[in-house]
Amino acid sequence: MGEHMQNLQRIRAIAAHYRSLQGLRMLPWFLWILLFGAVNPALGLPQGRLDYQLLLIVPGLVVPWAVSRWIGAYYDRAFGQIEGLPPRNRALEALAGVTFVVVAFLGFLADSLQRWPVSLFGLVMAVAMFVQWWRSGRFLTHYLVTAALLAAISMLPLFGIPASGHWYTLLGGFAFPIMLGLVLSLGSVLGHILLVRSLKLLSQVKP
Amino acid sequence: MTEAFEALAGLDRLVHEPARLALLTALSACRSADFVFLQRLTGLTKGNLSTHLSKLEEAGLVEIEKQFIGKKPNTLVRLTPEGRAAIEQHWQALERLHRDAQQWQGVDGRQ
Repeated sequence: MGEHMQNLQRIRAIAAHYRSLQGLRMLPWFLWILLFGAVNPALGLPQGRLDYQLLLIVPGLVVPWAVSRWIGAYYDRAFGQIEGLPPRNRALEALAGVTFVVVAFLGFLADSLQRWPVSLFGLVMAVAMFVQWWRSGRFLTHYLVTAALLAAISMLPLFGIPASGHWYTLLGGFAFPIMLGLVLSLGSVLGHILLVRSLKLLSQVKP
Repeated sequence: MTEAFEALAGLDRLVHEPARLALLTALSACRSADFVFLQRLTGLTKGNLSTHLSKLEEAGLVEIEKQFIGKKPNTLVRLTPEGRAAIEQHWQALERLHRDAQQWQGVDGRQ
């Protein structure tokens, strides 16, 4: 009975978090963030001036968007589709989303205007990653790892890093995207492997 | 212990059959799921899955909607309110039985 119930709980978990387990869907976005972090210092653009970078970022977004849609179609075809349960409180979810965007923007602005003992933008992102881990069933550990690493990197100014210059030079334009891109890309591949292995395991248990 | 056997006998067989219990459990965690997803999740053959879904539909526990996505047919399955209530009650009964079974093991261990 124990094993049977365990399998049923696994079935419930996969159905409830199916979208989060489709890790490859988000992989193009995470690779794009990684690429941004890798090439950003080499571009030699005025650091901290997002307006220059937007000229490169916006057209570059088309590629991950298109690849992500193509991967999504593969998931739908190979693994099927589900429509998730509606959020318990739609208004609260929307409010949380808007609050995150506003607070993240204010954090970025505050970091750009003055050097603080910690990166406020980094801490907001760390909280967002923690919330994402919590929301996605608490088994997608890479979001938790990302939250911890982001929080740690945000503390670097406390230890005098970067020694001089704008926070964006080392943290915002390099350390954050490189770390986010690396850990989340790895995590998304692991999420996909978890999905495939769980489905294989369940299909071997003939009901 | 007699009460537990009565509880076991009282479980709805239509719901308790392992394949159908797996299907209803999966459907209880989402608004709707398509045929391909349910097949991947349970490992059932197309024929078996169709048979189980038909039985659940006849009992009024699920709704089946056939549609076309582009040129491809797609079968969408969702729980009815009765189906959602039935699977929730069933899970509660199973969890009660599981707890009781653990208590008996504790009693046997002490004897």
